[in-house]
Amino acid sequence: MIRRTDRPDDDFADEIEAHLRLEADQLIEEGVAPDEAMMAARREFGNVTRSRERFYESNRRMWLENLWRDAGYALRQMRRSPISTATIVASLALGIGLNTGIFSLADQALVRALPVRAPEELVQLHWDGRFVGAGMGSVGFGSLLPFPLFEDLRADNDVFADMLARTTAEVHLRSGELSEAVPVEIVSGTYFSALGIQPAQGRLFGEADDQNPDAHPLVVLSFDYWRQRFGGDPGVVGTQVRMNDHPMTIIGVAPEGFRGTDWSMAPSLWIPMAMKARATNGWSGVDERRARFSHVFARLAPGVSREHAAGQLRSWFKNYLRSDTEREGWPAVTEGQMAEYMASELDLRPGSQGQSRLQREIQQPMLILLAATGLIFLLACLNVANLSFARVVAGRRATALRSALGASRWRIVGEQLIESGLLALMGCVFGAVLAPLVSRVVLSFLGEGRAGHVALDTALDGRMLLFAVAITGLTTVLSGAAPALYVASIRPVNALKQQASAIAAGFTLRKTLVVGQFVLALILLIGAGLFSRTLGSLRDQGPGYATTNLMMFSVRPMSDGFEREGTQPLLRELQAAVERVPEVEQVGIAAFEMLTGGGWNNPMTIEVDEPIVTDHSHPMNAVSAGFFESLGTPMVAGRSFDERDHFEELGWDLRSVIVNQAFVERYLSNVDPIGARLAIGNGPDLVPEIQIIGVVQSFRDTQIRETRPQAFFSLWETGFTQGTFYVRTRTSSTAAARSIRTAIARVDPSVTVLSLRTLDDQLDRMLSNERMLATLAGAFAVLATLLAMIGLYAVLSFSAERRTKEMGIRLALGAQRWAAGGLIVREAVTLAAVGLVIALPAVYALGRLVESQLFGVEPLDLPTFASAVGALVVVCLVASVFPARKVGTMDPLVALRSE
Amino acid sequence: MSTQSTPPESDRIALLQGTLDVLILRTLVFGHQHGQGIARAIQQSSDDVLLVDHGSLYPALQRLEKKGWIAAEWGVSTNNRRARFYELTALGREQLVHETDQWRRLAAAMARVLGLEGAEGAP
Repeated sequence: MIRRTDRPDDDFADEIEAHLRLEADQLIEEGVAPDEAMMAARREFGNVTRSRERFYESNRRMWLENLWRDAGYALRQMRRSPISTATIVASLALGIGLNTGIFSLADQALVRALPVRAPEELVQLHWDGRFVGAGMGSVGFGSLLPFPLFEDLRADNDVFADMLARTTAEVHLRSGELSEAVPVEIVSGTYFSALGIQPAQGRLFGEADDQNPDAHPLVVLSFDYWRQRFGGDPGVVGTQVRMNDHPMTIIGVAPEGFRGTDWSMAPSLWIPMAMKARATNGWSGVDERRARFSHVFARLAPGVSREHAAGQLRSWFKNYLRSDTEREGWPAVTEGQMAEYMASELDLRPGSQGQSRLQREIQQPMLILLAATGLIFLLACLNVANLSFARVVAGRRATALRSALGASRWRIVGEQLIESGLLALMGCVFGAVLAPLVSRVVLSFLGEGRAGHVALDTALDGRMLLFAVAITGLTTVLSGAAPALYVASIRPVNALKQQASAIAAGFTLRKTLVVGQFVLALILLIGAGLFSRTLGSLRDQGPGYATTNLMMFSVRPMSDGFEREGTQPLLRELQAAVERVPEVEQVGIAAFEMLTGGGWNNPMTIEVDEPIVTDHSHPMNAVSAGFFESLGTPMVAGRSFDERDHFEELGWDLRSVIVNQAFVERYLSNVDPIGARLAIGNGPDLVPEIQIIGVVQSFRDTQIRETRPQAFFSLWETGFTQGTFYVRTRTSSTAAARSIRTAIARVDPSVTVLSLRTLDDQLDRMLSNERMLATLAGAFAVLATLLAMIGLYAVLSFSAERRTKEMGIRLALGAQRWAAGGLIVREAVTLAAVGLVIALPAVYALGRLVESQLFGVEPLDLPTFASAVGALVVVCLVASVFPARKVGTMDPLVALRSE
Repeated sequence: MSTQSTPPESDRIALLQGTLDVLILRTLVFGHQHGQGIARAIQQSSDDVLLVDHGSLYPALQRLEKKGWIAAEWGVSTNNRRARFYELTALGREQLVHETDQWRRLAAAMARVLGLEGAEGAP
């Protein structure tokens, strides 16, 4: 490590000795007396030791040697005060670990590009404007495009090197005995080549594998699924699996780390778009221009910018829109709708991250968490600065002594920085261990309640480490600067004389640090309070029906191999079978699962005297008789569904609808809603024919925070082939679960029961963001409070020690012991009060920022503020107990003799 | 600096930083020499005007040796003392030429600025 020149120190000493002799010889020659000559030579030479020192220093990488020595010194110092060292390292590990863990997830979820070739060249096509769907109205968002548009554009553009389309579904995959529901990404034949993905095993789809409908029963497995399900066996390539009971051949495995284009739904397998009908209940839709389900990405041709490409596509898209209106099957639209449709633009958005349903949803919670961990980090730094300060102040005499003995100021400051650096490094190591655990906890919240799998890594990776190291450097500077500056300011004379002024300045700084800690802790405490109150009010409010003793499960008969015609009879049979289970009170079926955040939305045309079109798309569902009864939501007017609302053949023939109270209040407040008619959609030629037969009490579904107008159609008058059962049980739900499974298996063992769980559970999944914020913010607040308490304790102990003499005098003059101890408590409370005064405006401002995440609680919630302040008071008392007791119980005589 | 008795002290000039290096190189042009000899030679060739602080001589030698401008080996002096002899390397010779040139220009420039003799076209 320490490079020496080949010349040893002794050799240099010899040379100087030789010089002195030669000089003496010459002096003798010049007439100086021999016994004086040597003396004169030495005098002439000057300080021999200094010369040797300079030689010694020139000979080494001094800084490295110093570093080594200082590190040793720092380690010895740390061993001498293990508690303070452990506290510092733990604070740092917390600060670094929490930040790194959350940063890593936020980075992956919000920032990181897909692991594909040149992701920056990818753009995502976006339909800005109005889409005109089939009679059912327009569904979906601008990011979804009709598949034919993708095909048209791919055949007719010169700005893209390649294009791909994808959609997702959940399928039942059976291989051997085991059948399980897995997410699948349904992709155009160009998908893998456009992304530049190479297979890990076998081959991937090419264009030739996506030509004719239903003609390419091929599957590419994801690397993770291949490992987990097939043990990474290369032999599975070429074998058959059954997807929704249809035989498909595995042709290859995607590379490790590639998890499709949506991190919130990592597919277990890919199938060609030509096979879509097999995955989506027999409906393909790849030829339909009035339906949209595809996300379309394109790779920009070399040298083409996004803006240029968008400009080039403008006229193409205008043509597309115009010819679309001239096609057969173009629905009647109003003039306004037509104008909006024709004004639509095809927007090109950056596509390097792929697209994710979850991204927008978790962005704010993630940013709040990041901010919270940032505060924790700052707090940890303040704590470390404070404790380090205590250490250097305690060691000031030693420092002064060393300074007096000739150690340069830089050496001493350097030493201090090295100590900070070493502590930060240890914190970094523990933090790096902690970070993946933090990620895992956050991911456990994100992962649940979502169909499919969240493809975020929690393992320590390069970016994460880099962040940890960067943040460690920051820590060293933030926490090491103040002590280092203090050390630099130590004047040997003052410090040795133990003058008060030598420590007074440092003490003010330490108090400031503690106030800072209080401010941060208060912000986190109040934040945690607000989030947990939010969660509490959402839970109290619930969805609007009792979730206890209510269970749900889903079946998708077509995925189990049933023919379309057989699905609804099976659903009815299952309903009857489950109803016969002794533990079961009521059963109802809904086409769409509730409390998932998604569903079926449409605008409606309502006719009372004249047709009105709803101002929004409203959530709708198709439900069976018994559904509202199972939930326990009473009818406010009219009747519930019963056997009359049943159409023999499977298909769409909507006759009756039940709307909720919110719907009536919004659109039918002045009339008798029963008997009013409505139609789904907003076209001008729509004839409202579906009759409102009942009004149900409002409950919440897709948006747990608000009650919105909703419409429920009779399931047996729709063509839906799947259902989610809602089962009201007499006993605890868990006991009933087994009986329900048995009853279903008795009807048909091939039916797969999906997501059998309680509604309490479902509600929790729906509230995963809120629970995440409440839980993590709570944990952060506890940590912050603890850190602030440690900081306060350190300062108070020091203060008690510093005022020993003063207290001694007070006691000697007759002050009460409790009054002396009270001085310490008063000091604590003063610091806390200052912190409070500073924190309140900050909390107010931050509260406004997170307002959108709150529910049932104001940003300035008095109980929350009161409890936070209460917690702070407790912190003050706990932190001052020992120092105050010490002051209160000391012997005045001993105290007076101190120093 | 160190006290000196023989020549009039006020006329002696302490060496500026960097000048010692050139002087050492220059001295070694005439052949190899040990440290004490170098110090003496500089003093003599400057008519005892330049004072070599022996304490800084050896670090300077060390520095030059590291740069590869001079090389050293132990030998025996004329009066049979063991001594470490230094000699100029090819690199050192080049450096001397370069530094000498620099010095000339510096000296000329200084002279011009200070308005001394040899300053052509002085204002």
